[in-house]
Amino acid sequence: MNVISRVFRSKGVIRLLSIPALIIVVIFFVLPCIVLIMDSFGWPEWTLEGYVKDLVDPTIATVMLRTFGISVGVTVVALIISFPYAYLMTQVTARTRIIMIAIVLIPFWTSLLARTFAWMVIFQANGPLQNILGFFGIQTEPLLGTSTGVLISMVQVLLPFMILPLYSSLSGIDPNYLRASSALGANGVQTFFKVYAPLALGGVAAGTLLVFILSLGFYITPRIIGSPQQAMIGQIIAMRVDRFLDFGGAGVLSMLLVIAFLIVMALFGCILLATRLFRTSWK
Amino acid sequence: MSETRAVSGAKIELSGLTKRYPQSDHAAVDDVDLLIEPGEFISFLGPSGSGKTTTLNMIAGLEQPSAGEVRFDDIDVSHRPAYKRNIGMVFQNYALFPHLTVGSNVAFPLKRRGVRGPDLKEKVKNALALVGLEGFGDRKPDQLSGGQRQRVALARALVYEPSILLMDEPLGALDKNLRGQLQGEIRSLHQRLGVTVIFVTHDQGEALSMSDRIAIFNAGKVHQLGTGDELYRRPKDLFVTNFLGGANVIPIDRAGALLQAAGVSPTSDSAYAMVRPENVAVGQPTSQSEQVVMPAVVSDFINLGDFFEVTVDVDGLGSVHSKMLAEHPVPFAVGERTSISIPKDGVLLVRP
Amino acid sequence: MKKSLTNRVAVIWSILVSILLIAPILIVIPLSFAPNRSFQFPPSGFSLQWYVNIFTNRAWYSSLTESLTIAALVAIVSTIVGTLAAIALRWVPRGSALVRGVLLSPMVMPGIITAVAMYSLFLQWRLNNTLTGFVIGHSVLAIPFVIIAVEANLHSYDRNHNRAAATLGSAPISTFFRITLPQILPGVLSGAGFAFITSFDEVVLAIFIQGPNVKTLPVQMWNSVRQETDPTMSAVASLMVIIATVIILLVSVSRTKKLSRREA
Repeated sequence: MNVISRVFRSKGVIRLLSIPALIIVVIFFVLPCIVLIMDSFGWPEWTLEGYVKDLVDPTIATVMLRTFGISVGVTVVALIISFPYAYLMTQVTARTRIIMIAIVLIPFWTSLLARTFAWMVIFQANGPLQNILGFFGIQTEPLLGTSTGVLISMVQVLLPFMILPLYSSLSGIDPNYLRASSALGANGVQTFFKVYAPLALGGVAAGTLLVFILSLGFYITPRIIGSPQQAMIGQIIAMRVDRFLDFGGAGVLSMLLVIAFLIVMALFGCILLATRLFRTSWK
Repeated sequence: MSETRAVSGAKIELSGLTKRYPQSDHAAVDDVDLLIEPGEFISFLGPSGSGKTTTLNMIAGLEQPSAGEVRFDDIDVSHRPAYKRNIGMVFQNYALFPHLTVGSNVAFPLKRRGVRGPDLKEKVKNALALVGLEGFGDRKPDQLSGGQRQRVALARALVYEPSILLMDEPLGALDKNLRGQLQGEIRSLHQRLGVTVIFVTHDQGEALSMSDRIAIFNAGKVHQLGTGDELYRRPKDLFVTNFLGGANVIPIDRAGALLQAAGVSPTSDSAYAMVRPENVAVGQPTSQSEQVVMPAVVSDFINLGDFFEVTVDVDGLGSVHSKMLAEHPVPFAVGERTSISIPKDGVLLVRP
Repeated sequence: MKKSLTNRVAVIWSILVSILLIAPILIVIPLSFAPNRSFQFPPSGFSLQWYVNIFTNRAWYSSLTESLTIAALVAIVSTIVGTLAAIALRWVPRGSALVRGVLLSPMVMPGIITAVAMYSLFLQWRLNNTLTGFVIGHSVLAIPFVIIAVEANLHSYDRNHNRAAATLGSAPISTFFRITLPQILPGVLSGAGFAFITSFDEVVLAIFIQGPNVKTLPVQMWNSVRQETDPTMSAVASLMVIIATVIILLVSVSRTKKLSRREA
């Protein structure tokens, strides 16, 4: 009994409390990921064939470019749309702010499939969008099955992931800085770019990164709203497994996606660092 | 010791008690031997990092000693977990459980000991009455003031009548008036209950006013142990001198005249002469016998109402501080030539 | 005034953003009352048959109950192991960076990669098309959320309470249930809620590891959207929108009330 209680008080035992979670995550997540990477190298043969094949394949290059293009587009559009909303959230009364947060949270907590389904209905031939545009005399092709449709629906689906981190960082900005800036004679534009924007940078970075990561790996929305001819990378990964049980090929694309993502992260980090350095040296 | 005290405290014995942390070269507690008598009120006094709290935690069972033993009434409890040591402990930040009412906080240790029903209610009520908080049982801790919280913590630590009460800077978070008031209450609780109290503090006044004995900690060791009076009058060295009360400390090579006049001859290991400020009287001496009298110039003077704090320049000694009872009219002025007188037995030798 | 102009633009912009956020998902509600098998908007009549269908059609109803069962099991499993892990990470932080990285990694991995990787091993381990497979797979995805939610609460938990409880005679396990757990309960409950929703909403992994024996509601919705025009999908989507809206509104109202109480 003494031994048990002694062991129980030591830090070692508290550390052991993470073991059940570790077992689950390592066996059922880390191990599968490692096996997928091994498959991508043609295990047990160890070859780079899969990588070479995909890297020279123009179709894969196109899909990669499209995936990155759509992801960048989604991120930029979401940022532009979100910023004024997040800004206004910091300006209104507490009561209005609760309403504004609720408006963001309702789609956030609604099933992704339900929201994507709604966009499918909106974009379908003779759907509400075509009808409304037709009412104004604009004749268009239905957006269902197009990359534009994918982009619009992804923006709406991912908007909360941009607004929430933006708001949390903007709400931390001391309004006195802005007052000080205008008191020192800066006009509104100068105040925004020289004082407000740099302070908001943390939230912008968090939101941008979050939306970009999620966009790159998006599967459900492009699959339903887009078309196989204009697939994103997630669809190709799924197709290789779904149709051909080609785990090696899926592993190759997964690795390429992760590597490309890490490169973007690194670039992003460099830009942030450079901005900081620049600002420091400028001061 | 007071006759009315019913001694129910335990004897605590530390032998060779040592605590080393893996990332540090120095032992936090280094080979401490200490015998604490049943019912004694002892203070652990020392600067932060001196090992006093670590020692307390090892007595409580909250930390494991690296070597050595803790014995309660001659029973080795070194490897007994805290929850089986039957000690009471009060923390600086009270550590009241915020999700429980005051009553439930006090009932918590009783329930762990299987006390139930009317007996439980009765004991909780008595414990709250003991600390002057009758009728507060249904409140939540966050509805209480700091002093009330500490009283609840005290009631919670005493309700199961432990033979040992450990207090880790219990008054550190309170303001000065409240601290004085609670010092008195803790002292009288100790008198009534006879529990052995270990009181950790870095406040020398608190230690002096409350304790039977004081253990001065420095660098993981008990530096000096004794009654407040002993420590104050016969500090072992410069560290204890400076830690307990103010002192005029004069390097031995400059204090020759003073020592000679006081009839004190320095030993080989003494490095300083020391005079407590309250032993320095400024102004014309009342009696020459048994006093060292030296000419001085008043350089600074602060009137504290009941006391004067006077700084004088003495030839050969430099600046000397004096603390003396206020007199009217003030018997000197800044810049005035006067003299100081020091009782001969007020001149002490101190080791480095 | 420049400021009021900026604010006015922001107000109009924000109203448009609100419409973009809310309007598209509201469109499924009228659709769910369609009198015939179509996604025509606006519908040509009114009927409740698709709502009835959720509970009478075997495929829809069994997928709903399976989803609820799996989500409940996932909430239990991931809340228990996640809470324990959060305590370990928070209370013994030294050298825990790697452990934390591993435990949170399922959150940052693109869903499709996780799904493909798990599917591959689940094939060998015969976990596809089983309840166990779903519970394990979804727990992996839910554990990071539980850890984050519980850690946030542990952050404000004073570990002195553990020490105090020990000196008062409380053994470690008793201290956990009587002192620690009650204080971190909000984090544990919100972690459990997150875990439940994570599982209940999960599509990507589900469409890979599903089979004739186990089909969750999102799988059924997915099949329905891609294969046929079944307005039951509209009814299910509407219910999800309504449930989410009602919950958020209730929370908002209670927060507003709290606000008024503070003002009063």
